[in-house]
This record gives sequence, C-alpha cells and structure tokens, in this order.
Amino acid sequence: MEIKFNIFRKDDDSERYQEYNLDITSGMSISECLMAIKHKQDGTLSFRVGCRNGICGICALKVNGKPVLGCKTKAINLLKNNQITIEPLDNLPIIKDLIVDMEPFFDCQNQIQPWLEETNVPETENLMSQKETEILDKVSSCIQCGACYSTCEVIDIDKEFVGPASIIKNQRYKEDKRDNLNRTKQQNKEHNVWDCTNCVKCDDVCPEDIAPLKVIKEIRKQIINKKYNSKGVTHHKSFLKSIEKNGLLNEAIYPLQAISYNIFRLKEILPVGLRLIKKGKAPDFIQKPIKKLSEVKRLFKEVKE
Amino acid sequence: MKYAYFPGCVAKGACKELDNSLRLIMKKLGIGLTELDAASCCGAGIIGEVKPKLNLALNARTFAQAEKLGMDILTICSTCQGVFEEAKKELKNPKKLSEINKELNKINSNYSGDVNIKHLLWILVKDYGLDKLAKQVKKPLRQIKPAAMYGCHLLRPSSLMKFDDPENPTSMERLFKTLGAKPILTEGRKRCCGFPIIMTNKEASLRLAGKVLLEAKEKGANCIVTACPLCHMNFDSIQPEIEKLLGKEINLPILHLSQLVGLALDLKIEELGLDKHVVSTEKLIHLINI
Repeated sequence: MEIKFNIFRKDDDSERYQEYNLDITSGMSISECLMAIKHKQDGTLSFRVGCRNGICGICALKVNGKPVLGCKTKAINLLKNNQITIEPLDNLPIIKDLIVDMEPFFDCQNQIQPWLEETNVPETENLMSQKETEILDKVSSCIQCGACYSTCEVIDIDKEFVGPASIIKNQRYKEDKRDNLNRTKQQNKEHNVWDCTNCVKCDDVCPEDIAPLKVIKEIRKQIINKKYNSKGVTHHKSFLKSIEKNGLLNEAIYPLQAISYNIFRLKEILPVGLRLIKKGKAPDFIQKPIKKLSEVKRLFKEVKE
Repeated sequence: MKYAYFPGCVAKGACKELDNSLRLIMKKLGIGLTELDAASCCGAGIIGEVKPKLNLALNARTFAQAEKLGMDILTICSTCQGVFEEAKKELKNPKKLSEINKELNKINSNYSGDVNIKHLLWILVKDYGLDKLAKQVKKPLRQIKPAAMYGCHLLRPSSLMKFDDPENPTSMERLFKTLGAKPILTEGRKRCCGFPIIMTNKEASLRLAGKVLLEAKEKGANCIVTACPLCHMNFDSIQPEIEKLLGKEINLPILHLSQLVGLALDLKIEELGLDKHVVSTEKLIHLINI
C-alpha cells in the first residue's frame, strides 16, 4: 500500500517538510520506512536507528505529533488520511532532519548524581526482597529515549526543571539498597518533583510504560511521609486539611495556608485576591460545609493507608 | 434526561458564575439536575497522592450517592472528571472495591461499582446531541472566535479518556460550530494551564499559561473557552501578572463552556456572571450583539 510521508528536514540553511511516497507492508516499523526511503529515494535523509528492538532508545521521534520509538511503532497503525508526519523530538536542539542533540537531556540527568553513592563497601551481598526488586525493576527499565523529556511542558518553559526521566533515574538509585545518598531530600528541593504539573503527557508517551507521573506522585508521598518541609509539602498538607474541615476546598483560606501565612510570600497570592474582591467574586472565608460532613470526617479519621 | 450534578470546588468558591451558568443552561435545554450536595472534593489528584485509600473511599462515597439517585454524574471540570475516572477504574478491581466498601459500610454507604461519570462537554455532544442543541441556539455566536482549552485530565491518560483523540481533540470545536462560532485551532488546547504549580513555582506556572494565551491571541482567537474551571480561574485571574511577566498585552477574555453555551441560548450577561471576570468580556459581548 502506498502512503505519503511528510518528513521534517533541516540542514544549515533551511527547515521544511518534504514529501515521500512509499509502498509499505503491514509489518513495517517507522524506522524501517525511514530506512527504505533513505536507501531507495533520498540518501540525504538523516535519522537515528540503533538496536531495532526497543532496547537502546536512540530512535525516538515524533509521529503525527506524538513521541514514539521508531523501531517499535508500526506505520500502518498511525495512518491519518493515508499520511504520516514525522518530526524530531521537541525540547531539544535539532542537529539535522530527525536527529536531535541529547546534551540538554543528559545535563539534566547529571544534576541528580546518576550513580550509586556507596559510603561503605559491604562485606556481604545486599539481598533484596521480591517486592524491593519489583520496584527497582520498574524504575530501572528507563531506556533514556527522551520521549518524556520532549513532551514535558515544564521543560519547555523552564530549563532548570530536571524533567521526568531524571526523576525516574534518581528514584532508580533511591530504590537501590546499596545507595547511601539522601535522595528524598534532593527530590524535595526546587526544580524537582514539586514543579511537575501532572499534565500526564509523560505517562502517555513512555514506551516502557514506566508512567513517570505515577512515580513522581509516589515520590511526593515519600517526601511527605518522611516529614520534610517545602512549598510543595505545605501545599499538599493544606489541601487535605481544607477538605477535611468542610468537605470542599476553602479557596479563601487555603492559599494563606499554602504559603504558611508567611508575609514574605503574601505577594504571591495578594494581587489575585484583590482582583477577585474588586470584581465582587472573592470566595467566602466562612464556607458552607457539604451535607453529611461527619461522614467525610469519619473517613479521614478511620481509613488507614 | 437527568443527572447527578457535581459542581466541584471552584464553581462553589471563586467562580460561582460557572455553577450558576450551568444550572441556567440545563434549565433552558430541559436537562434535569440533582446536586450531589453531600459530595466531597474529588481530591484533585492531591489527596490520592498523599492518601490513596482515603481518596478512593471519598470518591466511592460520592459515586454511591449518584447510584442511590440512579443517575449518571455530571461534572463541569476536566480535573474532577479525570480523577473520578481514575478512581472508577481502580474500583473495578473487586478486591479493591470490597476493601473500600468496608470503609463505606461504617458510614452506611455502599458503592456497587458501575457509576457513569460524564463531563458537560460529553453530555452536550453525545447524550443531548449537537443537532438538537443547534435547534436551541437563539443567538448564533457568529463573531466569536474561540480557542478551546480542554484541560489535561479530559484528554489524558489516553488509555482511559477515550472521548476525544488526545492528539487531535475536536469535540469542543464541533460544539463551537454548533453555536455558530468560528473555532480557532491551537496546539495550546491540549496543553496545561499551569495552575497546579502556581503555589510551588509561580513563574513557571505563569509562563505555561502565557504560552497558551499568546498562541490563541496570535492565531486570531477573541476568547478562550475552557472545559475546566481551574484553567478558567487561572487564565482569568492571573492574566495581568502573565502580561507583566511576558511584557505583552494579551487581554483575552476567558469563558467556561457553560457560559459560551449560555450566550448562544441568549441568557443575560449578569446571569452568566460575565460581568464578574477579571479580564473584561465587554468587547466580546458587544460582538455578539452586532
């Protein structure tokens, strides 16, 4: 079946989309299609292909707007009006055509000490339980393809954010018994888990099904359980407190709780508050609780995690 | 046609105009509502992070209330919708369901496991139907060029949220056309509004919002219409700060879906609370009356 490929091209002088028509068979992956185009039609088309088995992570690119591994993605499943658009990953500088510079991605990884930090050389083996191994397996299966990084909205506007892949990497070492670094403390710092917006894009694109957002949520829980303090911790705790009190969020008091009534942080919330008051739509300080609030209070008290 | 209405915190707090608009449009369309006035906050994903079991219990309690009424739940919020769907999915596991029902039994409640949760957008497009809605339009919004904002949790995770194609959602745009408006297609419609990190990284939050607003403005939209009260509140109430940070005038009115539908049904500005927005809607409304 002949289909049309719209492929992003970039060289020193120009950026454009080039059309190629290719006869494909049902089993062909995107990487195989690209190789066929390169071999039969245009030797100048540049892209990365590695293991062709979804292991090395080098062939990630955008197909019809979504980051995927070229080798694991069947072209036939992604046809839109008999067409497929292929572009390089976002959030990374383009070197040529579909090849991006992964340097910013690895710079982020370097921020989190991506190695085992052992202070004592063990005298015996470090035995791990089945459960510990399962947790470690999950977070260590990242192949560093950059799909999550490229789709991350916070990375797009704030290059200081470490990004989902680095958070996963950090957790991989934290869940490893041999590691002796206080990684929870590190995760609680700025530009880390509390800067994630929960947009779910990383979970949606991860070819290894690691679900980075789910891991981020677990890390936040670990931070709170270890009784650390930070803007994020206060934010979460205030939220729960507010719901427990009246069943719904008290939008007048909650922002004050979330900044810990700190007058130096008042500037963060005061302009919004004043604007709402001016428009006569400020939320009430004294909030009407939901009906049967006692049931909610009881669940808060009695449900044990 | 009757639904168990779950307004959510924002429509009960800082944006009461959304609750009011929803009630008015439903009345005009002849869709019945029974408010779930004993329901608690969906948890916005936050309760679920800190106390996953409590989160499930609270949401199962809400689902049980709708079950008792024998109605599907209607949400007007992408976040509530997404959080509910996740909870519903987890409660499909019989072991989990029985564990949570043990907690609910203490408060004389029980959830059987098959409530339906529907966002206003889905109800209008599918249950009510766009053809039927078109017949109700009293004032076609010909001069309105809205850019849609779906809200993350109405589209993702794509394995769970199946109503629209997350890469190319179209239901809001189809609805806009039904109301006579001319939708402006943006990439931003699938993006995050920045609200979830406003208390932890305000500058990043403002930049995220700014990106969506500027794209819509540059592509010629004269308003943004959101399916989520959180996006609505964020875009409207912090727009002056975004403009200051980016050094650009944006001045883009932000409407919730219920308000846009209300305008097409010829509801009054005051009824829809459009006079209570931080970013003035005056010029936009003037266009409708031309």
